[in-house]
Amino acid sequence: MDSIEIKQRNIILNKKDILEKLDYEEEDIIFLGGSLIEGSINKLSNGMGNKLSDIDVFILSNDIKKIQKSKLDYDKEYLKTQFKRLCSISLDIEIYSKQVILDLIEQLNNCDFNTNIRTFNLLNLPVGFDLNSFTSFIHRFLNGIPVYNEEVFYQISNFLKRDNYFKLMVRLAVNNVDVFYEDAIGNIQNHQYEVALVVARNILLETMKAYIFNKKTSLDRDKWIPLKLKNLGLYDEEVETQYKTFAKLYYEEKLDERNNIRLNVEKIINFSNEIIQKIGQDGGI
Amino acid sequence: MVRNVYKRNILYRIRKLDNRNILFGPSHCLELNELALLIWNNLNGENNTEYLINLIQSQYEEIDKETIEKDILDFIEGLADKNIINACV
Repeated sequence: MDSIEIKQRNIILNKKDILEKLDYEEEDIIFLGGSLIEGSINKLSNGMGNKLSDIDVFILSNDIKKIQKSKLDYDKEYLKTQFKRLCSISLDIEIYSKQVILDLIEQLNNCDFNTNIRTFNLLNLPVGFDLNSFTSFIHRFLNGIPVYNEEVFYQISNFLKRDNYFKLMVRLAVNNVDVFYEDAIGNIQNHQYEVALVVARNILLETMKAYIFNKKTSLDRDKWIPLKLKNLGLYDEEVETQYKTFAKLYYEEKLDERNNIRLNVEKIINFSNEIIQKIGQDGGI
Repeated sequence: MVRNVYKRNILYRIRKLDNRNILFGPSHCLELNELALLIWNNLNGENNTEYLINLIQSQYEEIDKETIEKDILDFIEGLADKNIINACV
């Protein structure tokens, strides 16, 4: 396909027009991502992207050092960023070193999840590249549309062991739950119920994130958790049930009295424990 | 003294580590086998010990009820002594 329809903006982008806006070399790989693209191609992301959303353009550069600094708005060693416009849409252009990304994908493919190494330290990241940037990149890669060197894009896509990515993300989310867990309990014991509620809501979001990743579905921002659960629930009755419980705990419970707040926190913690235990039984952790 | 209905202490949680069910808490860390996990999951402040005994017996018909009852009550008493579960009044 030479063009991409962006339904949420009611426009059609020609790949040729996009490429004309970019500086790249023959062996670079270019793909589009972000909520507008994801919402267009992934049925589990239906509803993502709106009239104000921009498009992320990713360039995997064969030689990132060749890219002239003057053309860049932001410049890090392994990631460079530019901003341009096309057909009234903002383009956020992120340029990555192809070699660094391929190396990290290989590390992810070879991850040994049975070692005693903390999940956060499983990948050996280059200086200036944090784990969240990498996993966010992978998310957008998995939900991207290639516009240049498409064949190589799909080769990398096939090379990436998705199960390892999902397992890593489940573990990171469960680790986050455990970081928040004692904080929530401590604040309940200290009768700081409002503080405990804020922490418990983080527990709930991280728990649902782990649950979504365990369903082999990716996301990179917490704001999409309800949307992903709702969409997944259209195809999976179990998810539909868990979404209803999540929604009840997050939006619907009456929190006008301190005792109700404490009960809500306890319910969230019990629900979180049930979900994480279930993920464990499914072999997701 | 074993009471009738117990609830899990919210301080404790199960995590799957290296394919083992580990019960974590501030003072104790225990490994639970599948049977212990089944009991743990049913200590929800609603099910009484009679319900638990019948539940386990329905899954282990070859073991006599007295043995099951003694094992379950011992397990529950052990958890209660460590404040891992609390009796519901």
